[in-house]
Amino acid sequence: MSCVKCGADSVLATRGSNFCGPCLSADLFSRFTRTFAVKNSELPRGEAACVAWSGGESSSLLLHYMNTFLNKTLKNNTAARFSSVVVCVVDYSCLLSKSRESIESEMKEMQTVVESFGFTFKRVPLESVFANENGDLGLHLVADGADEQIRLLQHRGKAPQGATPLSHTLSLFESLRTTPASNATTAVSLLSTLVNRLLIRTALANNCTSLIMGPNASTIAGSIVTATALGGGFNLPNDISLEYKVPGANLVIFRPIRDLLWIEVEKIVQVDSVQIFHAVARMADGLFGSLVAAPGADHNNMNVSKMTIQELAKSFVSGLQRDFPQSVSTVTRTAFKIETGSSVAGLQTCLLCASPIQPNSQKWRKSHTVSALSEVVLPEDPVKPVTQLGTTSCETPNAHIADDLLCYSCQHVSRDVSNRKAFVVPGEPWFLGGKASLFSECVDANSAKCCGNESACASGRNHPGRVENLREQIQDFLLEDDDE
Amino acid sequence: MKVCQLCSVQRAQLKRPKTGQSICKQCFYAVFEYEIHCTIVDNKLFKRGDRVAIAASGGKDSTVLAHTMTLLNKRYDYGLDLVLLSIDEGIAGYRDDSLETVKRNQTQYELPLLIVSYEELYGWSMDKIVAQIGTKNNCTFCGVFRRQALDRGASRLGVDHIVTGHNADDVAETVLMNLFRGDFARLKRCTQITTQSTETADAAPLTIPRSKPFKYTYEKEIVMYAYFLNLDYFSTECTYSVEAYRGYARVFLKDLEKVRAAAIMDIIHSGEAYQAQEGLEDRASAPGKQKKPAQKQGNCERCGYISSQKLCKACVLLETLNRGQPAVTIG
Repeated sequence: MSCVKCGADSVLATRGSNFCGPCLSADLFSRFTRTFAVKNSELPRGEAACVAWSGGESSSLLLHYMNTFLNKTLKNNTAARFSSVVVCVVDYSCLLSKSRESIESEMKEMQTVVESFGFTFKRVPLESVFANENGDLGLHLVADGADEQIRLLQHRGKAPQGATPLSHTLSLFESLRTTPASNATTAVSLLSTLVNRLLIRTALANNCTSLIMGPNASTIAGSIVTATALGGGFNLPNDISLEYKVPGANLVIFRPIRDLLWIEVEKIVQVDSVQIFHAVARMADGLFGSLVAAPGADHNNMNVSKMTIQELAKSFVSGLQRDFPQSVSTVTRTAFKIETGSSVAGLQTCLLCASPIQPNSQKWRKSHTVSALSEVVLPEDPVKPVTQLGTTSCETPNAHIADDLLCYSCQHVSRDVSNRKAFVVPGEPWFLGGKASLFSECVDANSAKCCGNESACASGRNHPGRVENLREQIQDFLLEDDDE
Repeated sequence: MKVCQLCSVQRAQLKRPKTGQSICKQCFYAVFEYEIHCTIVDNKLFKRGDRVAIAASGGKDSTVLAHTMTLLNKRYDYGLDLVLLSIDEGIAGYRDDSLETVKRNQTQYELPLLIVSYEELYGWSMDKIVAQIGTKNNCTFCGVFRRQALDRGASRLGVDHIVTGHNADDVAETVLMNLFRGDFARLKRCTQITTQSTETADAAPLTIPRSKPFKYTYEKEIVMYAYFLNLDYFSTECTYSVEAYRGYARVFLKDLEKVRAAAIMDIIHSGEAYQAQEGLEDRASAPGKQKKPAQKQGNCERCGYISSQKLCKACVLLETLNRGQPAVTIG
């Protein structure tokens, strides 16, 4: 087949046309540059930008494009689109048990590449998440931008002897391996949340007003399916939009290659000889003991229960693309139309991921799931009429305190850790912060202790005496069980 | 002995799919029924004195629906007048057997029953349709015809409301399916608990509202409930297969459930966020883009059923079937 533009031999058939290497290169690069010329863009001009780099194909292509783009404007003698570029690589090798030699060696190479472009290289260790945005080391996970009241609360209580940011990071992830609900999905979500937090923090600390990230269309399709399956639909528009203004910060997240398909990225990386750093890029593969599906693998032949939802979504999108080639574009185009109200100003933000919290979502799960007999209300008199259906709304029990601090997706993290209190009790190692009023219900902020019924508070289970009482009340209403 | 996590008294006899809790049968019945009651009450599905048709196929969902609606109506004194409404699509070896189950349910729950058939309404049974068009698109015919048949049956019964046995898995699956096939309009409305075509040119309500009291109820729990209570239901799948795309979404949903059971509820939560927000415009209809005017609902010229076109979908499909066939009457 010959190239649709110049008639040379084609290297890739995509979107209904064939392209030779140079034409493909020119076409994809022009699609990248066009994203900077979108009308009504909020992306700052002439200021410092931070580029997130994982070492993988997509973000490496992004970095290559950023270099080409800035050199081009320089040659054309036009005003620089960005005054300077900081490249941030988040290093979570602290979580690895295997040898880190190849990672160390690749990190050095990455630094050389970045500096050869005239950009600044920042390697940020994951454990620095237990520090504040000023770089001061702390021992808590208090969200950036938390108010002074919270900062005071975090110093209550004593950290275990010898505790360091690294030990706190390791114990946080370890706690997700030891709970009955342990599935690597939550660990992968948490890692992604913390990486994003560090990227934003690095951008702000280096006076960058834009954070440029490199998800491609296929990655975005996987993120759409993942976010939907994790209940994070409310923030989906912010997670996949071309640009997103971070609430409460002078920072715009920008995704200029979100329309490029994976096959296009894979091919252009070869054509343009973009260097990829596999050891760094795949640090997280199977990190938490989950199965990793090869792209396009038939996951139905795998033990899916050992996969994460993120891997399952990725594998599913690959399969969907194989069986229905237009599906990735269909999924992304559909999701780009979604408007949920998450960009409305003034929404409370999640203390873990900093995304806006959907109003009334904190108690949503609880209001549709009865998990304690104390929640079951039976009519005292079975023939007593309910005069107006809908006016006797079911009692919604108070959600656990952590649910008030976190967005719906992040509630999985607080639910799956072995020590849930550690997120919400001031002085505990992973304390997130929050308004003091939230703590009056269960926690005495001065003593950092629970109300005295710790097990009931922590697990949401009812007090034993009340269970007996309720059981007596409902005894007559239970259905016959002939099997007993 | 593993003790029930809810009552701390009985032996735990099942692991609840929705919460993962190990509980006894009695506690399961209590929470299962109460959750459905909450869905009904919190969403204000009915008002006292309503006549409500339970769409009954004889399958597990509709059998448990008939059972719980009868039970909750008595327990909480909703004051509803319940009736059973069944559609006979005319599928030998499937619907005829399941309708026998519905007839037994009628006796068990002492509810009136009306059966309306495709043959009677359209002059075509599904067996005849499949004989003519094959199994490829037969679900399209069945879906369009069933929707209209339910409305016509409900109209004959003089009901104010129809309840269907769509469960949480069905809703989550539909969210995924609409996302995968790019049906943005349906994606925005597929998680609504009650649907109704409300306005004609003269602003009159046209269809009878339909609700899903099982919107937040897991399919596995419905099966468990029917099994433990030994309810009389028919368990064979439709012989004419499922839509390919829905099947794709279904398999994926089951995989997600294996990884994390809460995924079903989480998808519904996401789907509810995708519902059109009041006062918000779609990004696609940004300033400068011309917005399509809302379609006005009218009536089908041939059968009188609601339609935004001259002919309703059922009449269009019938026309394709009837090419070369004797004319049929509708309604």
